[in-house]
Amino acid sequence: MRIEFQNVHFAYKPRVPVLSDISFDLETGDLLLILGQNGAGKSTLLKLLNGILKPTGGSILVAGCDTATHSTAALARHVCVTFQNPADQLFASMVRREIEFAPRNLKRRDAGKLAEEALSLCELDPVALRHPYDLPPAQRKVLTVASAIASGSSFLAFDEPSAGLSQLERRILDKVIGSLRANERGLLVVSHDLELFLPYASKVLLLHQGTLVFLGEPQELLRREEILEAAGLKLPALMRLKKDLGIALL
Amino acid sequence: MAARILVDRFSFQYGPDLPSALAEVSLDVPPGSCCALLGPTGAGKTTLLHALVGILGRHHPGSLHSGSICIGKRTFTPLPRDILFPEVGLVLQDPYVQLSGVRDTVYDEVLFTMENLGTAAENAETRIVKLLRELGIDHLAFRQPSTLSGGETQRLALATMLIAAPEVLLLDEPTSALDTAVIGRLRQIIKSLQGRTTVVVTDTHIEFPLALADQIVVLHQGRVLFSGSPRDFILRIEDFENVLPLHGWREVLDGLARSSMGRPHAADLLGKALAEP
Repeated sequence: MRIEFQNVHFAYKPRVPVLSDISFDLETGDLLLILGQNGAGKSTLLKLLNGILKPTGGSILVAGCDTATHSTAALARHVCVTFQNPADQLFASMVRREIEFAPRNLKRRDAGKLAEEALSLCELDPVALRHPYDLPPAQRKVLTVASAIASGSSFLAFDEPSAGLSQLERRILDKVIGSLRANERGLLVVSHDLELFLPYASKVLLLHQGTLVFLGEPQELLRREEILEAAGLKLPALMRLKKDLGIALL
Repeated sequence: MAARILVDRFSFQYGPDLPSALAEVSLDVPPGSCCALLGPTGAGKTTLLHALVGILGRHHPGSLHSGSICIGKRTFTPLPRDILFPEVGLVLQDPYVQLSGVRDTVYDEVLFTMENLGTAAENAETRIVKLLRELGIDHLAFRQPSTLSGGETQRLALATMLIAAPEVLLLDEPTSALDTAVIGRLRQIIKSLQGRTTVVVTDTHIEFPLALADQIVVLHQGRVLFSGSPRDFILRIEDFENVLPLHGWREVLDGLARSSMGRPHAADLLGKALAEP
């Protein structure tokens, strides 16, 4: 199964383009890391995946479904998108219910099993009976990831999944991403956290002011740091130091 | 005028049946300096900031507390009972919550702070435009706050505090939604406050704090594990591996130590490398 962006344009307001002429494709089993400055259009790109936003030009196919003509409900069977801010997304009164919602709503045959697996993969079993808003913000963030996994959708898109996470939750997220990669899910990750996600990425997409300025393998991006700099980004200090010392980055 | 923050054996429990959020925490932040509170989620970082700004004293009537908190010349035993804004400004971890929701543009949102403080008459426009420019969001002045990206919202929330010129500025994980370039800019902004404003910043990572802070404090389960200079922190980095994401840092430090003259020299090199813009 695949996701295809073909010459996609998007504007919230006429004549103010947010995304211009974006083309890429992605198979299940891939992890596409989406980089760019604040305001480059990264989150907008994710909202186009499940039809919350419709492209104003070009086309997007998700598992063969054109997002322009398919409802968000229909697209959700194939792609599940999490938001940057957990408050935009969580609504159930119990962690377990929150995780069960997507697979039940999508009428997955093995809904209970999907929810149980996501709960344990994300190490949320100890808080399964708590209210999502009683969890610390970092754990709430992990909960949004768990809910997406439980959806059973082939493609998962995460917006800044590691923002605000401390060492404990990062370790969990690291394990979760590894497991999703091994299980051939297709992942799209918007993040500034190169240390965590670059080693897992099969492709990197770099946005600058709404246009695609790089699409390629992580190794190539690391060799050509000037591409990052031209897009207003740079390697985190730790990665720069490692590079200087000849320590492997991936 | 910057204020000294002095926290003396401060303990706090949200309720009688809940574990201690803070236990005998002591802290001395000299006026105009920057202190970084590091630790995993649940360590008590946010609770401490909320105690300093007055949220805890005001909104948690059933809590248990002891010790004392001094901010400038004022001593609170054990903690402030009212929000100390504008003397103390806090930028929340979730900046969306911080915005008023009743103003239609970024510019107006910042003006709203000035109106509330009765300072809007004093050349408001010049001051707001200058601040937005420093924060790199002047091009967004006429945008609706709810349409901003995560990192842009963070900077707007900061602007609504900075416009009040607080004596103490508290920043709760300010870098979590920012890209590397904006983090660099935020570092410059905080540096430029040096001497004028006392800054306390929390983080779960060490890169930003090490490049910025005069003092590093590591909290874990409500207790102070470490308090000292960034250099001393680097020298004792192994002690914090279970509570902070340090794996790669240790590798780098060992690499530096091998290629230079041991750990102390490596710590200096690392500090220097981080301080580069």
